[in-house]
Amino acid sequence: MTQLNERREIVLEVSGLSVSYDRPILRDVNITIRDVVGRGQVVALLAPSGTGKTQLFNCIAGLQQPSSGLVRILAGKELVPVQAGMVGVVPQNSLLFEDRTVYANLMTAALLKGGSRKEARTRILELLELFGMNDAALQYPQQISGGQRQRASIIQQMLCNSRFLLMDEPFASLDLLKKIEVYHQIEKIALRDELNTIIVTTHDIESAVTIADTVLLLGHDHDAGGNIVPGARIQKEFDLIECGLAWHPEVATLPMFFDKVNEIKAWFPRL
Amino acid sequence: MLWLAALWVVGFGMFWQANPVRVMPTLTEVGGAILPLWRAGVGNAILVSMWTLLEAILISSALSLGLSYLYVLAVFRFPLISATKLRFLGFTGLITLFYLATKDGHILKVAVLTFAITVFLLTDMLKVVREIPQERYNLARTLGMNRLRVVWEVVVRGTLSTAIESIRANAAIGWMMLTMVEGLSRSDGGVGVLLLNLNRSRMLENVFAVQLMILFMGVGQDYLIGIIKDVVCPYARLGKAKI
Repeated sequence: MTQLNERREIVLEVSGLSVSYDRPILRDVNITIRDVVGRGQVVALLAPSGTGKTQLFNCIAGLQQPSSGLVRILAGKELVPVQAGMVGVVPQNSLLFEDRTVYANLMTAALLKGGSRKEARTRILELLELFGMNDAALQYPQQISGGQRQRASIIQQMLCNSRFLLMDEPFASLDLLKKIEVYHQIEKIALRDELNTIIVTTHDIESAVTIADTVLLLGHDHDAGGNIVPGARIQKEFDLIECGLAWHPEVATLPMFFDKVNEIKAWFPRL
Repeated sequence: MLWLAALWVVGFGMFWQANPVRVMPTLTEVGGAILPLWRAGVGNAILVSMWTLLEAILISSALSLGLSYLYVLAVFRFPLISATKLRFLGFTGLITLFYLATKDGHILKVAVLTFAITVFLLTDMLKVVREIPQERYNLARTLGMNRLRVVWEVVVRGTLSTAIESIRANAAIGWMMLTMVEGLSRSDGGVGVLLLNLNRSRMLENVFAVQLMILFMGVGQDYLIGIIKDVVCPYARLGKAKI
């Protein structure tokens, strides 16, 4: 019998992924994300600047072909190679089409997914309500705040890509209250479907431990002389569910929360 | 702000009128020439020129925008960039080609104006298309758009307001070239022909009166394209700084 928070089938798999230009950027990156029973999950990817986080992000989203290796995601009952349009992406600057209102942006996305305009409208209104965006629906992206743009961008991607969402630096330059707002948004997405998987890239260790079920550290190996070996890869994986740090509103008050934050902080200089 | 603009116009008018260096007719002399010119049919000449210009602007806009969108295909990049360099060419010699290639005077004028506007407008538009951030294409791709739809949404729709602004800026070149172009074939008439005739007879107050009318026409054209932009792209007005 399956239990809540138990990990099951693979929903996303990165195997032997390498990206090189004139030098290796990513080298043999392997990530396996399994479905968590009872709810969606959040995976945080922590990496110092310049480690190839964007390339990994683009490869997972199907926007970039790796030099070698494969990204596969669960589609139906089997893992298939990822293609652009299968994984939602919310970039740091929360891009929207500037030439149309928020509602029209969402309608464009919903119609691309298929179905009638009426069905699309129902889904859009439901998500606008869920994210408290009703008031901004008829505004142009230039007229809404950064937080509202981010929410609109999340909804847009959710309308098109039901299961996987990549969020690039969603906590960057946010004060504590705004961060909590974003935690709740991520939680809302995770709670909508057991198969929902949100991958968040961030530098913010505390936010990562607060919101994530798994934390991945991307960084470089060092040779015997302490020199950086070109090409970053996953250096460490923290299963926060196993540590009793699966997300809940009071997770950040637990003593082991701070232990985990400190443990990850200690890892950071080595990346 | 309107009062400040009015103040500048009045100030300039006063300076023009009172300028002790008499190299050009005074404002009153120029102003006094407008009514007789109007009665002599300058309105018709303006209409002829406007029609010629409108044709050239429409053709060059369609041509430049269409060509600039082709920039997304790598195979067209070199010829497109090369085409923008044609703006350095003088018209001597080139005009002969246009003479040989066109059937009548009107087509010749439209063709020369179209060429002149196109090379500048294409330069502007290529810059716009080249500078579209990769993220915009990525957004369209993550939504599952096919290549054609990506080009439509990101390149065509996404740059429309900038395209109209570029048309607005480069359409002015047409008015600047009008005298030269209309001088190539005088049978159609037009404000350029009128200017050449007046200039030959050294009727400077009339010349400047016509120039003043052209200036107003140009400002009107600018304003009209601005209104079209506001109607077609209402979002382009948002977020502009109000000083």
